[in-house]
Amino acid sequence: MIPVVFGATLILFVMLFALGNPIDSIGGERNLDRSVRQTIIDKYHLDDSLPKQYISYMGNLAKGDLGESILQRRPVKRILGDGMPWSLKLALTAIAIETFFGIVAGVISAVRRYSFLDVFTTIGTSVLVAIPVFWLGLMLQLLFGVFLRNTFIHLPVSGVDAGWRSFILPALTLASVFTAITARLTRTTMLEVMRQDYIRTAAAKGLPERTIVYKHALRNAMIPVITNIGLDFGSLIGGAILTETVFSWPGIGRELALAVLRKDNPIVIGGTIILIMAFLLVNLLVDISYGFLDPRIRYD
Amino acid sequence: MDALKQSTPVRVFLLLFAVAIFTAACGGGGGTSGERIKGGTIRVEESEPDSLDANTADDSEQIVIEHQLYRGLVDYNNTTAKVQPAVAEKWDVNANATEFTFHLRKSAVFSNGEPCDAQAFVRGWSRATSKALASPVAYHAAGIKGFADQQSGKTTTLSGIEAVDATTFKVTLAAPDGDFVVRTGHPVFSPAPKEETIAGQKPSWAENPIGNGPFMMKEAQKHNQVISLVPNLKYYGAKPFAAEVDYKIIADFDTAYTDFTRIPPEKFKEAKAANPGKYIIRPTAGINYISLNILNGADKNADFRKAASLAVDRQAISNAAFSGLNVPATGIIPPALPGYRKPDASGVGPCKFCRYDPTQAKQLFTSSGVSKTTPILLSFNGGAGHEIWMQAVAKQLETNLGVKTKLEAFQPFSKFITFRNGAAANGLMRNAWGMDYPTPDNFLYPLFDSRSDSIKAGGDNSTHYNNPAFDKLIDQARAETDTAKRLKNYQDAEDLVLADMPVIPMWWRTQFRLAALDKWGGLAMNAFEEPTVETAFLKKAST
Repeated sequence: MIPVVFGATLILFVMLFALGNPIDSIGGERNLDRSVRQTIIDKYHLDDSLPKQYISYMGNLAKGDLGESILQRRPVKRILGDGMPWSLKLALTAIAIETFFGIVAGVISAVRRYSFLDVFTTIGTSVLVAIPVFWLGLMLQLLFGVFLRNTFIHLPVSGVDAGWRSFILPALTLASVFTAITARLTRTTMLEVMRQDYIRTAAAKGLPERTIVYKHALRNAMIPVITNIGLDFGSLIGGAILTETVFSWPGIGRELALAVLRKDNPIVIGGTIILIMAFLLVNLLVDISYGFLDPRIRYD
Repeated sequence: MDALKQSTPVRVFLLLFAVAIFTAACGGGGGTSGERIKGGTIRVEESEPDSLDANTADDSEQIVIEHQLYRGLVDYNNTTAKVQPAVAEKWDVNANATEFTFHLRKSAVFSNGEPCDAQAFVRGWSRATSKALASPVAYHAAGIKGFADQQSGKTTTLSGIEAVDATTFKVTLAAPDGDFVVRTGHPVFSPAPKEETIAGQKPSWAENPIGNGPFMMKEAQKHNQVISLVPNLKYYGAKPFAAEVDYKIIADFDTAYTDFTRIPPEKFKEAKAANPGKYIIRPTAGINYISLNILNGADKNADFRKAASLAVDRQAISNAAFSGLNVPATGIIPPALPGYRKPDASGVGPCKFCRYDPTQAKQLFTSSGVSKTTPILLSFNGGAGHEIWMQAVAKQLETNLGVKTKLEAFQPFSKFITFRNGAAANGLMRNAWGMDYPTPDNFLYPLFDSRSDSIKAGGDNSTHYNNPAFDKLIDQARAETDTAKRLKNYQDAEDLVLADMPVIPMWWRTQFRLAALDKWGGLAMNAFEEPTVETAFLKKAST
């Protein structure tokens, strides 16, 4: 974990350094006064050499200090701390949707292969994968926010101030592509597992279909699916930029994207470190979960 | 000058429903009685400001909030943009415009009950100019004695200001400035409560400031969500009618469903047609223009600059790209500012080369001797809605002057600014300027005075216009206490610029907003392009 953080921050530092001085982003259309410019440069050590900046940053990082945003003049820890809970909540909701609908749809299509439901799922997932996320978001807003505005299924289209109802549209939008992929993956691996000898044996000894599917087939088919969902969770936390923008969601994806555009480097680096850690943590959890799904892994 | 934030032009059809939703929700129809009903929440579309600290207020997203949280010595009339007394009831100026004595009202207090007296202004102005704060807008106070010592960190109290007694505040300038009073309405000149109060605000002063204006923070700023204001019951002036103003942070204009919403210029027409009676159009004090680098390439040639200006049909481009809303500029000082000169019957104002005249353009171009084969660069910041009109300008130069052109979109914005301000700048570069305060000086000194040169002085004069006669007129105007004479000096300075054409004035800024006028009375747009939430009232009791 630590080598990854070191490597990633070093690459980021070199890249951001090459992009030039973040001070040009302050002041917008207007030039910054020389005295103010110098004060800010001194305060954030913007004129220091690359190795010097990197070493002092890593020193602070070891103390748990992510620095201060140059444009917002707030500690990066607080900026990310404000956005993180919202990103996590949205990602968890999306993961729940993905897991439930993806696996159910995948299992049904695998078990009832070439049935109407299977064909429907196949076409549906193809369409979902093809729709751009922001367009789907806008369409859902148009439907639930505008066309259905006077009905009881009217839903809020932006922000987070309507409680759980605020989550529905962004989470559905965010989960769409991932759900489709999970459904596909589940179907494929289920079909694979259903062809195995032990499934035939289980059927031969007269076990009910339900037990065969859920106890013998699904558990064995879950390993690639869980790995995939785990990786999705990592990308959902920081990668929800489009969804967060369309739904004005106060998460860290948008904060990070904006910071990249405005060269607010402390946010970019701090945010990346947090995302790397989250990603690695989720991967660890996924690895641990294998043991529960497939006891053989525990004994290796 | 604030960063004029503009949206990326994108999918708009959703916008067309923006206000429709509100009508539906509120039962529609205006009140019949004309009665001003108290209560209700106004929702205003907003982008996330970097800070709410008034002493650092450098962009429009922040200033719109500060104007409600604070009242400085003076403020500006919502309709006419003229200076009017605020915390200062009256003021005296000495004969050469270097000493200003403000007499403050006794009733002004901060929303936490602390007195907003002369000391509060000493604290606020010293804070704004201090090295520790490194405020990007401290330069507005550059004319005050002791400013340099503050910026270098030598002092922590601005030496040119003094609290003579609780209600007398005296300002001494290093050089005369007859329009100084006008500046003091800018949020950077806001008063500040005691230092303990500032240090004690949770989670920080910049997220939860305490002011003396008609509104106060309901709670600390909720980042990327909302900034909620409620009426400040201790405000000395007329209390607002609305019970709350929510500045909703909307990431995408197209999804803004609020009471007061910005619309990208190319969508004016559609939005207007879809929302009859629920929009506001207003010329505001700003100018969109093209700047040149008069030290480099073809831009050095005055005849070329004039020819380029005459070759552009401003009205036609406005019709095509801005639904005809942007009004062709006829000078530098915009309407709504004192000193503005109306165009004559044929549409010609102080700028003699701002009309569309392809014949004269061609003649001037021929006499300029500028090469037809070297392409003229037209540059702008990409992704901000400038593509269409810059293309149109390029096309007209090609047609009317017979030159080759090359378009370049810089991204990000800061890269364009660096290019435009630097020595390598050339060709025609998009530019815009909005007012900080309603004085012609704000449009002349920063853009054309040699002391604002972007390379030599780090200012905003990116054309490198350097005319001693101009600089002298600016100094004369500043030293003049007679308003009419001062304006004449500024107009003469404007004429000098327009004879040399280091810039090509394009349009006076005209703004369009969707506004729930069926629901709210007294809701308008002021000259700073902000909603007048302090006077807005419900037309009909909320349902």
